[in-house]
Amino acid sequence: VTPPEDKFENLLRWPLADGRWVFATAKETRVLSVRPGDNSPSPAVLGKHLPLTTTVDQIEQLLDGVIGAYLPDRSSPAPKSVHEYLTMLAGNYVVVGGIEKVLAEAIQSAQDSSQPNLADFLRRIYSEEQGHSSLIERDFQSLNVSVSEFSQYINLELAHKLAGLLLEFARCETPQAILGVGYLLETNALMVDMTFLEALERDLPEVRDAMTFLYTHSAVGSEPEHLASLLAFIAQESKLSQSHIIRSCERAATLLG
Amino acid sequence: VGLLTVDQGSSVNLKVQASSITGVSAAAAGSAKVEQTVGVLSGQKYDDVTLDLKTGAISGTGIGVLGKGTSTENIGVLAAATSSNFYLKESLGSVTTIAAGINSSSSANIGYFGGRYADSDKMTISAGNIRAEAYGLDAKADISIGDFNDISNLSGYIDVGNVYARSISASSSSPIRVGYDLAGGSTNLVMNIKVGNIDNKVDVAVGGSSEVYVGTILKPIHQNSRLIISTGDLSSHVVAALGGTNGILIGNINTTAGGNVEVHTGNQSAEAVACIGHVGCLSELVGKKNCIMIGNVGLEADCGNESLIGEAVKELEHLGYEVEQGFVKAGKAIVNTAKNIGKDIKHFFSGW
Repeated sequence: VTPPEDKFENLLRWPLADGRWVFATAKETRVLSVRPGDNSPSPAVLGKHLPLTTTVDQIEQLLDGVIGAYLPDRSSPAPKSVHEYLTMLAGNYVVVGGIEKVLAEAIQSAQDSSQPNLADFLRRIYSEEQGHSSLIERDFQSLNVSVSEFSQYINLELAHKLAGLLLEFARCETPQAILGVGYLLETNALMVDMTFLEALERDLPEVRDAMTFLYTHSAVGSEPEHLASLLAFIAQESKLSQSHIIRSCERAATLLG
Repeated sequence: VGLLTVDQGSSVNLKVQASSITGVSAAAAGSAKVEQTVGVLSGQKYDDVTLDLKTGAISGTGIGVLGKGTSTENIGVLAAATSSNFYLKESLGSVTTIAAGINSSSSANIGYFGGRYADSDKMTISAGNIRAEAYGLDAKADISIGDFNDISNLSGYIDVGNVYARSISASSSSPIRVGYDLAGGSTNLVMNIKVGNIDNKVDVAVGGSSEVYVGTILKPIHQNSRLIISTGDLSSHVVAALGGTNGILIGNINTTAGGNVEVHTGNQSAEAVACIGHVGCLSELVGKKNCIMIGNVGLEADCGNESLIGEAVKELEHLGYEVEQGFVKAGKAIVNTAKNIGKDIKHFFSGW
């Protein structure tokens, strides 16, 4: 008979900060609340566990479970007014506008902590993301609105907190933590699919020429490809490195939850 | 019987009536083969085609003692490279295929829609009881009713009697498919399927398989589809089947575009048993692939790893823990199928 400890080798277990657990396999993830009874022993399955080698599917399910614990439904309706649309863009502008600085600092931290592979990967992301904030500026210009002026009149506290979190992770000794936040943002972007974009164009025809950012950062743009390469990188990282990434993903999810 | 192959056809109305159709292929040594084709349209391009087929009982038997017997029935097949407005009407008696003997096979393919760019099609199929039995090493007895391949906008109505599948001995298989999507793609499908009792059994079959699929789309599709299925009692009994996939799968759609599945069934029982000496209980070894899987949207065919978490939960509960389940995600995320009205922008951070 297969020993129990081997039986659950491919069952990833992650303890959440609030005491719940995420259990994940390559095909499924579940968030569980586990309360010990009066005489319950401490079984091996309740320990944190990441296999020595993980597949892309396993790590994807685990991260989705961690995010799902705080954000069970991430689908959102398309904005219903131009103001709501511009608010959405302005929020993204805060995060995307700071990303080059975040990546530059993270590359430096990766070099300082002797992680050349991570530094190379971050450089690749840097080149892919460079100049993307200008897409939002262009979209604003198409609607004859200044992004900086508009941003003065709306509450972007959450966006600033998210940008601050990225910078904090980029400057620490384990800069791979920014990838956990990146995963959350990339998967958020997948919620913007063709149905979403068509609804936006139908409901707000006046923004039709001001959607270059969404067409780039969405399921119909470059995000699926970025997400695939991000997951491939995380999957081959060490258990320790993966732990930093998962923990940072959880912090970002807590922030948005 | 009723075989039509042309490059281009329009407004074709093919009517075929036959009494019982029987094919028997028996080989005592060497090999023997029998193939029957009834009501087949194939070619390059068809528009506005009606194929109306009425038959009595259909049976195929492939028997091999030292040699190999092969029996194939192709009945009511519409396969053109490009087509639109097909209407396939079939009214059949009982359908039986039996394969007995090493490497013998017996196959019945009934009501098939295929070809690229097939659009706006309709199938109405009624049949009596269905029976597939495979006995012997590598024997295969399969029945497919209402398969479709690379089409869009299909309305299907299928009504069949009781389904009986038996696969007995190593590497034998007896798959039965009713309303099954072969290729995936961008099908927009509305399917109404009614089936009687389904009885599936695999016995002493190392690598053997017996699968019953009803209204199941396992290849990924990209459009919404609707399945309405009702069946009688379901029974899947797997004994000593190491490897292979066995079970009953009803109304499962593998899609990221959302789907609508209604399934009504009678009593259900699934069993994977047989403990072998000190090796362990076989249900534990093979159980993950033997299942009854009903009414899932966005799941893949394999019932496999799904249960590993379930097993862990059971162990925890066994140890006295109270386990409460929260967020669950199975397979790939289903994006934008349910949209709640959001009041803030927190989910709008898109990329980085």
